[in-house]
Parts: sequence; structure tokens; C-alpha cells
Amino acid sequence: MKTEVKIITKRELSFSKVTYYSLRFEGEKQTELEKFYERYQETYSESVYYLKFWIAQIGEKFGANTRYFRTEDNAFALPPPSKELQYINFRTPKKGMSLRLYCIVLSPEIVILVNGGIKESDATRDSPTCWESFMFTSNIASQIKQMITLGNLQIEGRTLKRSNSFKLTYKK
Amino acid sequence: MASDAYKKALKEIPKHIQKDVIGSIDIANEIYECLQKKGVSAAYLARSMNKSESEVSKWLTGQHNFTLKTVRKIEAALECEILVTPSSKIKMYESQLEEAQATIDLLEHKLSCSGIKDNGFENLTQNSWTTLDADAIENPENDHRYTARILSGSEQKQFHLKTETKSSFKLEITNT
Repeated sequence: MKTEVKIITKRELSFSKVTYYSLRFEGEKQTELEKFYERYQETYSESVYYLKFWIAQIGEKFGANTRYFRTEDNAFALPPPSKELQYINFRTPKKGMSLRLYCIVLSPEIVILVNGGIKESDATRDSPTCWESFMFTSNIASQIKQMITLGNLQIEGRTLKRSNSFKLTYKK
Repeated sequence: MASDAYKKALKEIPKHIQKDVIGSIDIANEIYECLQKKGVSAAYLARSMNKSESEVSKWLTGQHNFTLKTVRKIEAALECEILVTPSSKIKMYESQLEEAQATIDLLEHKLSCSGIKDNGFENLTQNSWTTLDADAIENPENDHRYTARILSGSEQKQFHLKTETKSSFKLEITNT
């Protein structure tokens, strides 16, 4: 059975150049982003902090240019590609980053941070936690694209306006 | 002005993570400046340290996590200072002040020998130099001009002491 998915934002996600949103399943208290942080904060604390730092820097200083995100089909992911980090004089962690946070970049001012997992191999398909989050993100990205085409979702600056007649859904 | 979200995020993220991400570019820039000053290439540094050119290139991108030992070896190879601690910086300024005082003493002696009578430095006590030292540490890159007046009867000469580099002073003499 499909569950409704809502796009929500919070005050702590509203930076000077980017407003980040996340997704929340109907009936759940936590957003997907909060679930991601909670799941990996303890075991991958350093990687989580790096991700939070880049999210803050992109949100406050650079804006959400797609070059700061890895592309995977119709979804995006953080951390930024190594070449881009080098370009903006940022360094990757010494041990590398296997943690991926999937997202949907809608404009340089709006990004939906979804959920993620551990990249265990070159192919996302072979990394179970990543694959699950990627499939979910990719599915929602397709629905959002359709909503925008039909005029059911409008982007106004850093605000998203959704028509009540259209709902995002996903079968968990 | 930074957003509340940004301030909150930085408060949460440990300082060592923030420094680790953006810290090494300063060291890379210092190495680059040392190479420029010495007039040598990155390849020269690589050869003199028995390293590959690609490794030195990586150092210059700011992507390398330097150990203190590596930095000291680079300093030795380039005969320059890359990392300067606050206490050594104070010692450096103290040494500069001593040099400046010696220059002034010499000048005072020359003026005395040139027939100008009753000459002397006004308001130029050890204490006033200590104050200047603190100012210099705050703004080491600024053009500092310190003024001392020499009295010679009805005649006055004004000296402008200007720091040009970290280790040299220029003395300009103007009539007032």
C-alpha cells in the first residue's frame, strides 16, 4: 500500500542562499533526513559532520549549483565530487567518505535532502542501504518532475507551493 | 549576516572538522609564497626533499593533511617559515624593535657628530615602543609609520619609521 509523502522544511534548514527541505511519510514523526542523521550519527559521526558542514557551506555561501552534487540518474547525492571540493579549496576526510546522502536539486535555492546509506561498492545497486534510499529518492524526483510539468508544484524563490489535488506517494 | 541555521550548524559541528576541511589551504599558500620568494619551482622542492613532483603538486592544492614534521622539512628545504606560533611572532617583533632602536641610536650619534646641538628624541621611550609592538602584531601587513621628532634648537626634524617587511624598516627624514 502506498503512503503519502510530504515535503517539509524546518527553520534550521533555511540558510541564506538555499532552503533545504526533506520528506516525511504520513503518520511518521521524523523526516527522512532526521532518520538518516540518527542512523549514522554514532557509527559514522565524522562523515555525518562533514556532510552537515558541506550542507551548511552550500546553503550559506555557494548556492545549490548542481556541480556541488554527485549525479545518479535523476537524483543527486552528497558529498560533493572530489574535484569540486578541490576547486573550492575544501578537503575530503582522510579516510574518504562512504556515506551518501541522496537529494533532489530543484533549483539553486531549493534542495530536498532525503536519506542515504553506505556506499560499499562502485555500483549503487550493490550497496543495500544506498540502493534503498536511491530508489526512493529517484521515484520521488520523478513524481516531482511530473508535478512541476503539470503545474501542481511551483517554485517561487526559496518557497515550494504545492497544489492540494496532487500528492506524493511511495510504497515502502 | 549569517543565517540562524548557519550559526546553529557551525555550533554543532566540531571545530576540528571545520578546521580540517578548510585549514590546509593556508599552509599551501604559504609554501607557494616561499617558492615565489626564493624563485624556485615546485619541481625544485620535490627534488630537494626527494619527493615526487605529483606529491608536491598535491601539497599546493591544499588537499593534503600536513604533519608538523613535513611542514618543518619544507621550511628547512626552502629556508623559510611556514608555521609561526604567536610566541615566536612576539620574539620576532621584539627583535625588530631592537634593530630599530639600534638604527635610531646610530642616527642620533650621526646627528650629534654633524654639529646639531641639543638633539634628542622626544616621546620615544621604551614604553612607547612596547605599545607600537602590540599594534604591529595586530596588523602585521599594514603600513606602519611611527614618528619621532628630533629637537635641535628652533629646528625640528621628523622621522618616519616604516615597516616594509617582517624584518626590515625604512627610515625617512623630513623637515617640519
